[in-house]
Amino acid sequence: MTLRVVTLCSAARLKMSPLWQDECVVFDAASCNTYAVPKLSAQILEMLQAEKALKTSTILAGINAKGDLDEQELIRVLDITLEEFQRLGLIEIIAS
Amino acid sequence: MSSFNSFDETLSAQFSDKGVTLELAPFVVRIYTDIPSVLAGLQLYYSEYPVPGSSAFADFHVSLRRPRSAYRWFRPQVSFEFDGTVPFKPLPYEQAYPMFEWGLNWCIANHCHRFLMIHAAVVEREGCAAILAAPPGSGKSTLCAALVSRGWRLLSDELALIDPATLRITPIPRPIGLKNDSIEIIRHFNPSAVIGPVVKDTRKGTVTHMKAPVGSILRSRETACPAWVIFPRYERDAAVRLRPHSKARTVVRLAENSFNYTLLGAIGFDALIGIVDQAECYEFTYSKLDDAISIFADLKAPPLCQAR
Repeated sequence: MTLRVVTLCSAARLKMSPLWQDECVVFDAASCNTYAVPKLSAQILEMLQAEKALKTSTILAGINAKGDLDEQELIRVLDITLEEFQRLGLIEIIAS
Repeated sequence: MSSFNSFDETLSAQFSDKGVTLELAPFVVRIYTDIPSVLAGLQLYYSEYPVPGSSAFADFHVSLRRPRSAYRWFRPQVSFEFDGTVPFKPLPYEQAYPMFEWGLNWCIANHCHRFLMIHAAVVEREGCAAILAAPPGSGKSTLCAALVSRGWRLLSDELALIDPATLRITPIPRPIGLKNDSIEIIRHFNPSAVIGPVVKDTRKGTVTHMKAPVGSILRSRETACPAWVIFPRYERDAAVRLRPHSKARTVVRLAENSFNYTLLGAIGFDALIGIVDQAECYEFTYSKLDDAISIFADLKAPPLCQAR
């Protein structure tokens, strides 16, 4: 896994719905764009909301705190998720 | 305040100059016109609505008139004016009444931002409202007309008006727009329905309206709790099917169907989340109205709505 540092875009102001059946809704108040996202994506965004910036390794550790998930699969999903968030303008990958 | 049941053609001059004021709760509309088809339509569809009088405050001042261009001599047209502006191009004169209904929808959708407005039909039973959200052509209005023909209260055929503070739906029961095949389907389904003149060759095809049930008009100040969000779809020969739908995707679809979600911003988001959180969400496919009515009759109110 490539080590990167991820931060929420300065413009992104996120609100999140409750978790419903492993999905929730993310609202970017800066653009009013609204997304349905899976639980994992919601967890990542919550972690980013709580911290200014996070290393991908820290995110990975956070979402696999119990250590019961397949790490290789998580890395793959995390990469896809971060790329999608970057495309949507929600996060910036500020170092790698 | 009287009701609009004493209309007479001799009043048309007065309608043109002073206008007629109608209370379409929660709005008051003042209409100026001397076009016979519009006057006849108002008499047919709006005779039970309160008439507050010409001195009452009106939210919208609209008029329907023949434009004064030379064009009018060989192809008569009708123009819709709102507060002195002309938001649309004129339509053929025969389409004057539908233009009034469409124009009024436009006025509400573009100006009433104290509500979160969703493009949806809304019907109610025992205080619980079903929001029927769907794009044009999916059978939403046909289903709505059928449901109100079988005892559901009409809150709206076109606009779900959601109060962001209370999350309740404010009724605006107006005539139900029917088009193309659905006109004969509803005539057959409810022979006692009051359905007005048919207008052909509009941008929506052949159109008419079905009068709102009097009971719905009389209860137009009773708000309702959103209990079900349903995405209906007519599919020829399909078996009736009601399937639970993801709440997260329901929020996104409602946002896409809203007229002012982006304008309200976080207020709109919070309102949608509140509604979807308390409501049951479904996708619904049907081909026969009787089957659809049976499914709706069996809907169970979610706990938050039962408690209200």
